[in-house]
Amino acid sequence: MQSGISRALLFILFVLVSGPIKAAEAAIHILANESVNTHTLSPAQVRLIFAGRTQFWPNGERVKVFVLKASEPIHTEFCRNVLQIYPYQLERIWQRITYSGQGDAPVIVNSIEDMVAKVAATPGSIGYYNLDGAPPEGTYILNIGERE
Amino acid sequence: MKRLAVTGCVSLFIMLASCAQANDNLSWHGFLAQGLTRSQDSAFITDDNTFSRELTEIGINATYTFNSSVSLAGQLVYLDGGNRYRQGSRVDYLFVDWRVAQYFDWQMNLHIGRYKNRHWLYSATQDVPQTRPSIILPQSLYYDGNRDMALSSDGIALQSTKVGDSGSWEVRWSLGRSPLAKEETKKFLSPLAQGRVKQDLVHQFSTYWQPNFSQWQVGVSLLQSDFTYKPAEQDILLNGTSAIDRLTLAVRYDSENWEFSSELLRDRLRYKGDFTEGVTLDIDKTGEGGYAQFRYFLSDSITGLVRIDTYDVDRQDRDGALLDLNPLGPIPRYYGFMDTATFGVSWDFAKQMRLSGEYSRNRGAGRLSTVLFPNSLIQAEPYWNTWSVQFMYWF
Repeated sequence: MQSGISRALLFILFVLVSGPIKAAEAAIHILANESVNTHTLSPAQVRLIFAGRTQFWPNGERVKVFVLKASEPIHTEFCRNVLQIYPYQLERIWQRITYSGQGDAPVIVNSIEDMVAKVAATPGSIGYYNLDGAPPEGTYILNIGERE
Repeated sequence: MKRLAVTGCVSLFIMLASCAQANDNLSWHGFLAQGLTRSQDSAFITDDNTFSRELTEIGINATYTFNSSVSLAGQLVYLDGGNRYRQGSRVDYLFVDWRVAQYFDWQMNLHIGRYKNRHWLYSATQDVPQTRPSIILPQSLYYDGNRDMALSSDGIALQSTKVGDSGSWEVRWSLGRSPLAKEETKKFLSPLAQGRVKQDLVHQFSTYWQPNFSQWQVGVSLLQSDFTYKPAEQDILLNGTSAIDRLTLAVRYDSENWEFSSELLRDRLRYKGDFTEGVTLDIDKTGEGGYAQFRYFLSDSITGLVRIDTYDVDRQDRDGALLDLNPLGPIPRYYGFMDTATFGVSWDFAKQMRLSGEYSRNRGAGRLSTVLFPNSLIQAEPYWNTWSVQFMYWF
């Protein structure tokens, strides 16, 4: 009985302390409007932007973030593999920022095609996409790597 | 009054909606929550053991961004929580947000005005129903009798977020004071008190750390606050001061399907005062408490909650035995502690709509009111329950 409890406790401990969510090779890219003019961001910086904590680009332009609905598999994949957080955590951060006067939550769009069109048309905007081919006119793929 | 407050909120809503359409720099949001609630064998929420509609929260907030450095943010709310806090409308926060530094890895904001306290896990949005894990927050930390004072203060606050190789650090510091309504003086002290309690100063500091791409977050916060009693010409209390020192530790772990959070606190409370009856008060006691909360996401729309919350008014007298010898008159021993088990469920049944329900079983009454003045105690039996169901809509 005692060893059963010990094993259960060890299992719980393992689950609690096991490492962060494993990053996978994501086919999802960060898409930015050409006015953003920043080419590489660290993973932590990307997370700050999509969490709504970075509200302005270094050039003073307002950051506008577009995301898909939380129930969309691409959004879940983006959260897990790129931001390395769970969608509900992101939503909790947005609520906290929105309802404490700290900024705005991202704009939710209906489809990837809609996202691409909105990023292309909105200066200072950022989103993500998983479509093949070159990014559409007015946008570019923002790299995730070493901090600038 | 309720109708006036609701009309005010709706008018503000329409005005903001029309302004927002014309101005990209203005953003606004709001919430509306109405429920049924009941406290059984206690006057914590209701007096007569019956279900009541006194579970109303209506709020509207707006942020106007002047430029990349300065914004103005504010929130107006109307609340009816039964006996839990003062019924009516209030400005929860209204501050100028100056972004002193804003780099990708480091940001610093200075808030001037009625700033929002952000020092505990849920304090940044404890006034917003859909952001809370439960309808009623754990009373050991988020003591409803103290709601307005804990939520915001008039003064300055500084907050900084730094992202580095070791993870993300948030540091918050604030200095201010909270205005207290006259009825709150009567609630804190005694219905016979004619003067006013004034908060001289509240000084807070907190820091939270989250390792890079880890699901753990840990934090610590410190609070120091002083109060002075300003007596009326005819009064039971001739003078009085009190001071509170609080230490809080917080931890949260997020998993894919569940979340665990816990906050522990230690409060040192000092009261000094002279009463007309010749009684002199000089009390120094330290309370301890905290909660452990587990939430399980049963599906994308349904969340279950289990929480244990505990508070001892005096760590040297955990069973309340010394309350028999209270200088202002004996107090039942079960006012020396309060233990609560809460079970709840939330269902997001439509976009931006939620239905929450919860039940709490309580032992003791040590967190219902200040356990010092026998005639200001909120009535409760040694064991009592609360039930609440609340509909929430937000935009």
